[in-house]
Amino acid sequence: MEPSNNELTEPTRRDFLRKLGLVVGSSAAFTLVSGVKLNQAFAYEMTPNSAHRKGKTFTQSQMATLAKIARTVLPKTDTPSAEDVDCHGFIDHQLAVCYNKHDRRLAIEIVDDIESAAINAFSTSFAQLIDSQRHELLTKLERLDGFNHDQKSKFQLIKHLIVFGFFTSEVGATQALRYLPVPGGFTGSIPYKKGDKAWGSHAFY
Amino acid sequence: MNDKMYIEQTDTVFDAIVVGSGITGGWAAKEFCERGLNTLMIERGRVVKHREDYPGEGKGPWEFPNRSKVDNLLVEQDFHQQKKCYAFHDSTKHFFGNDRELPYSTKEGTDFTWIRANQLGGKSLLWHRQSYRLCEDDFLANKRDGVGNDWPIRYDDLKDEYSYVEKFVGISGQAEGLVNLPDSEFLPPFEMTSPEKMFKRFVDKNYTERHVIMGRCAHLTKPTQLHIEQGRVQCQARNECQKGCSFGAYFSTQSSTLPAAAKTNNLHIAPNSVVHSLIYDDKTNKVLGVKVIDNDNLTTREYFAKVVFLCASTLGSTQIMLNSKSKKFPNGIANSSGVLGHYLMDHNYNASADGRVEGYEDEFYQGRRPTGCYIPNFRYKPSLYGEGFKRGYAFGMGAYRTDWRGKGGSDGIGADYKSKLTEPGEWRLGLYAQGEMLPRFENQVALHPTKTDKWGIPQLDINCQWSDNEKLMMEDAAQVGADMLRKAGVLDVKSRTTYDHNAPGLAIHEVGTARMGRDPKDSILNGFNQTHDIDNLFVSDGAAFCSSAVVNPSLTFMAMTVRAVKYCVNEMNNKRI
Repeated sequence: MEPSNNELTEPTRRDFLRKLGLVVGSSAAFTLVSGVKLNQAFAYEMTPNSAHRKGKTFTQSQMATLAKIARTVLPKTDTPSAEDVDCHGFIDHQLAVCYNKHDRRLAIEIVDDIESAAINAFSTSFAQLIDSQRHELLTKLERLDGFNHDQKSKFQLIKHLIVFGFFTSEVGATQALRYLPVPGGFTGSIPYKKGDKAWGSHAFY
Repeated sequence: MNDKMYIEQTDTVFDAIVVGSGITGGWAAKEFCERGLNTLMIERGRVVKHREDYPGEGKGPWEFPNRSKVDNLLVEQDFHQQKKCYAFHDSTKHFFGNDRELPYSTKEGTDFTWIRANQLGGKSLLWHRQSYRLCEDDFLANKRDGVGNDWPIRYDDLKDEYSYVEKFVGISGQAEGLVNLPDSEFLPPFEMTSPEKMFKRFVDKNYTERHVIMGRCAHLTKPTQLHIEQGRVQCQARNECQKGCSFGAYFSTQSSTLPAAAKTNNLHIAPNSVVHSLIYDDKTNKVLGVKVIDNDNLTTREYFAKVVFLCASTLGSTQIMLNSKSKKFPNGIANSSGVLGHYLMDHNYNASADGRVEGYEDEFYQGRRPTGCYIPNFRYKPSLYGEGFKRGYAFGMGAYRTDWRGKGGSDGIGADYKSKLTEPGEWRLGLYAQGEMLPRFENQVALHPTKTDKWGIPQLDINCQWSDNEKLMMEDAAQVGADMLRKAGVLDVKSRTTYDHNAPGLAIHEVGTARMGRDPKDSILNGFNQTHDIDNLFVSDGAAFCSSAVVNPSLTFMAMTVRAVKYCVNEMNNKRI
């Protein structure tokens, strides 16, 4: 299995940030910290083929597995799936820049475990399964059927990221939920009926 | 505002120097300028222009590189303290101080979270905007309890200034006629949700001293002509205030006091100017001005004025005073009493209780209300104190429906799970205690004997801890809060205290350390925020507080500052300064 390139990424980022911190001038530092340079250097960008590429945290084959995990947890309905909005690419990025080494290891371990479970149960990789088989396998994981508590909690880490990645994507926030960036005022009570969507627009996430 | 307003080198002797540009400094500058005084506002950080410099404002989460989360290595390197603040996000982090550049130490076995916002506007950009008057009992508390020193002022001394600043700032709220929380000049209040109204009905009916009211906040729910003239418009209920608000719908230096001060053409601003110390002349016993280190290139320069107002934040102002040493004042300027740096207080936000509310499934809310509800301090006098502790606490209160944000770890795979996440969940209702902290001599800041920052200024060494009084109060609040919720029919109520892992500082209501008082032997300032020792030196920020009370202090900083400037200008006109 090819190594993830994350071990290279972290020292590189550390070095970049250290140099950024040495830049003299409060206005320059403001520009750097508030966005531009930092984002340019390490920004996550949605890419159509991240399931077929080595990531910052995951290997190429792990990315392919993760894409299908995302799609199984949040499939296409009247709105696109988590895979369609590149949740796997987002998770790969987010783990690299906002999580620690320990969390990254747990995430990699559970993706590998899911892949192994697919091969054990169906003699083929998770990515090659049909949707119903993938659904069955992940449901068993949550029910601790053939999986342990440890594995479930690692899966929850990934699942948190799938849910967060999906509902903070433009599609998730504006189509799967109701997005109201400038409400214009606050109304304490509006009618609600089952099926009405929750707000996708929040002050902070 | 024109760019000629910003200065660097000058020989001018100004009428007044205001150190700091936050809530207090903005008010001091506006009041001096409007009285015709040639005023220099000194800010240690960069210029932040209203509307132009709010890079986080109005963006969807997908527009941020990490969906609004902050890069973990950046946090580790630059923001290990600031990250503890609830408002620290990718969209706001540029308004927080850089911990690497702003080091401080704490005494072994103690901790203190010092949140900084060193740019034009200071913490006025980041504040939570809750605005409450202190009540008569708050000013009497120290005297009654024999704790700390007696405030040299009473509620009536500040009443008119409260009204004056409230009209200008714009305070949203409901008049209630409560003795423990005097009414302000109000713009219309925000609405309550139905579970909040249910809880209000229960509390109003069952407790004589407890009242549920809508939170009072510095938001323009209905702007008046006074606000429109400042260039401000109605609050849009985005509740993203700390990113900066181009509507000017909440009060900040940028949205309100700065344009008013600039309009007079009497305002000058020296940005990137870190005040090292005050320049003192022992022959005349006057402060002549300030010595400044350039924020960027570390060169030294001086500014001069007839009077100096320190509005550099509670600990910022005290640090400058401690570092202004002379033969007459070897332990810090105007510190003949020796209490400078002592009696540091914060608020104690370390108890809460919440639970589930059944019903109201056919109701939701629209918009993001920038305030919660509030239960004013119901232990505001000794006869109402709880068992084993002095003073009291208020509760923040609020109800909301859960959503996907709390459910990433819940079981479910597939379309049904996805569908469930797109809908609002159950209603929850919670109470969040906001407790008073007693003034104690032992809670103090001092200059570190050896450590300095990059400007060569000695670092603050902070020694501040919760006492048993604060801990017992939080235990009481957790229990009282949970009890109220259960009796009101809230289900699965859980309560907790968190003082064990949240050190003082995190409420960002640090006050004290250059307290007012009648006696120059045990206080730094008189009742007009003027130092006892030097008549042309004033401190009008939170450093002046004798007790913390329970309410958010910013409104009182404003009122106190207006009163101090009025007094100062009168003294100058009568040649007493």
